[in-house]
Amino acid sequence: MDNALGSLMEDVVAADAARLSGREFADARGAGVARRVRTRRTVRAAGMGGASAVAAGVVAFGATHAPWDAVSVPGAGGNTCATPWPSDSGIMLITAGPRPLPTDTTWWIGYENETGIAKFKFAPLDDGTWLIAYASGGSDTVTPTGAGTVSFELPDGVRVVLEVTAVDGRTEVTVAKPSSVVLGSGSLSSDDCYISDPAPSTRLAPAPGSVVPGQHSPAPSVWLTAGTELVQLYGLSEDGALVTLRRSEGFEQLRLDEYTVVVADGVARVRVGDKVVRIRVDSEGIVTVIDVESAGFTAPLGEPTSTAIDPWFWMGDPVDVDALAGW
Amino acid sequence: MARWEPILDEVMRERGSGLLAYARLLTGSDADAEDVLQDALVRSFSRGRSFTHVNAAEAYVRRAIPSVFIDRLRGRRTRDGADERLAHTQDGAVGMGDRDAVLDVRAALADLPPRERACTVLRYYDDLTVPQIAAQLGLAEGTVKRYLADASVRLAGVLGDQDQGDRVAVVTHSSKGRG
Repeated sequence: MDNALGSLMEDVVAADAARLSGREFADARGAGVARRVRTRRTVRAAGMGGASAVAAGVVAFGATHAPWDAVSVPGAGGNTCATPWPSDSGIMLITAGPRPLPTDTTWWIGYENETGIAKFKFAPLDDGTWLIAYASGGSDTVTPTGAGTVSFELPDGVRVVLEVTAVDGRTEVTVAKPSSVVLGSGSLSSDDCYISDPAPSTRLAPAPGSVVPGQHSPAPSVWLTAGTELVQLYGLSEDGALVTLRRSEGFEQLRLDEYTVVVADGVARVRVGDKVVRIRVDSEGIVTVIDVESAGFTAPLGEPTSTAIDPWFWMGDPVDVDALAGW
Repeated sequence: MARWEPILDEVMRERGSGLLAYARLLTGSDADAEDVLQDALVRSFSRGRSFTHVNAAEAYVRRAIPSVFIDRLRGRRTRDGADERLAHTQDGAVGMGDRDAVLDVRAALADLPPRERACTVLRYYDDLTVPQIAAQLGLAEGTVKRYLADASVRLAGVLGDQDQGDRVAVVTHSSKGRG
C-alpha cells in the first residue's frame, strides 16, 4: 500500500479488528455457516447434471413459500445424497443423485438463483471444448481460455463466465459471474456427501408397466410454480419409480398434496389441490395428460394430447426405464 | 467431521476479527459486516475446495468479501434502511474513542455510496488495479474508474488536503490505464 489513504484504512481495520471478536462471531454464527456450507456442498456433490437427472428422476423445482426444511426428500437408495437445496431467495430445488449415468457425459446446469429456473447446461467435449445448450434453444461450442474460464452469452444477453478447475482429480466448475446464476454439478466425492438422509432403500422398484395406486409418498410437498405456462414435476418415489406430471396450464400456487407413483408405460393419478390429473407415461417417457378430475367431475382435456417431455428439459432424453428399474 | 470444517472454524475464530474489520470497512456497520462475512464464508467453503491451511482459506474468504458485499447490494437486500444504518454507524464510531484520523477516514468512507466505497477499499486498501477491481466486482472498468473518481472528490471534500494527493492519483491511474 503506497498511499496515505491506504495507510489510514489500515489503521481503521486495525482498530476494528481489535474491537471485533472472531470467537464471538464463530460462537454466534459458526453453526449456521457450517450448516449452510454442508448443505450446499452436498447438493453440489449430489449433482444436477442432465444425464444424471434423467436417470435419477430429479424432482423439478418450483417457487415455494413453505419452509424448505418442511419438505421431505424423495427417497433414493444406494449411495445417493439427496437434499433440498435452499437458496437465499427461497427457491427450492430437490435433487436425488447421482446414479450411474446412462452416458459418459456429465452435464452441469446453470440455474437462475432468483427463480430456480434452469437457463443453460454445459458439458466438456472430447476435443477440449465445452458444449453450451440454452434453455431457450440453441447451443454453442466454447473453447476455454488458457486461464480456465469459459465465457458465453445467454440468448437474453447475460454474459456468463465460468471457471473450470481440476480439484483432486475432479473437474470443478464455478460461476465467476453473474452472481444470479448458480450451478448444479454432476460430480461426487465421499468427502462431499454428508447428508445420508434418507436411508438407503432396499425395496425394489415396480416392474415397468405397473402402477402403484394409492401410494402416498411422504415426498414431496412441492409448490408448483405460479405464472408459468408449463408446470412440470418429476419425482422419484422411495421405490425408485418415476412420478411425473406435466400440464400446459400453470396452477397458481397449488400444493401437490399427494401423488401416485408410476413407472414408464403406466398411468398416474396426481392430486393437485382439489384436482386429480391422470397422466400416462409411455415406454419412451412421453407424457400424455388424460384428463382432470375435480370434485368427482371428470373434465377431459379433449383428445389426449401426447406431449413429449420438453425437448430441453433434463436433456430431453427419454427416461431410462432400465436404470430406474434397477434401483 | 469433514476436512473443511476445522479449517472453517479456525478461520472464524482465529482470523474472524480481521475479516470482520475488513468487511466493516466496506459495509460501514458491524451487523452488515457479520452478514457479509457469513455469506463470504459460505461461498468460499461451499465450492468443494480443499483448503489445507487456514491462510489459504482466509485469503479466499477475504477475496470473496467485496464480491458478496456488491452482490448484496445488487440483490437490494441491504438497501432498505441503509442510510439509517450508515448514520448510526457514524455515530457509533465516534463514540468508540478511536484516533481522530481513524474517525475521519471511517466517517469519510461511510459517506461514500456503497459501490464507490467498495472500489475505494479495493483500490487503496487492497492495492488492486482498476481491471482487477472490475473483475472482482463484476463491473466495467469504466464504471470502476468513475466510482473511484467520484469517491476521490467526496473523500477530498471530507478529508481535506490530506487526500488531495490520492485524489489526483486516482485520476492519474485511470487516465493512464494503469488501473
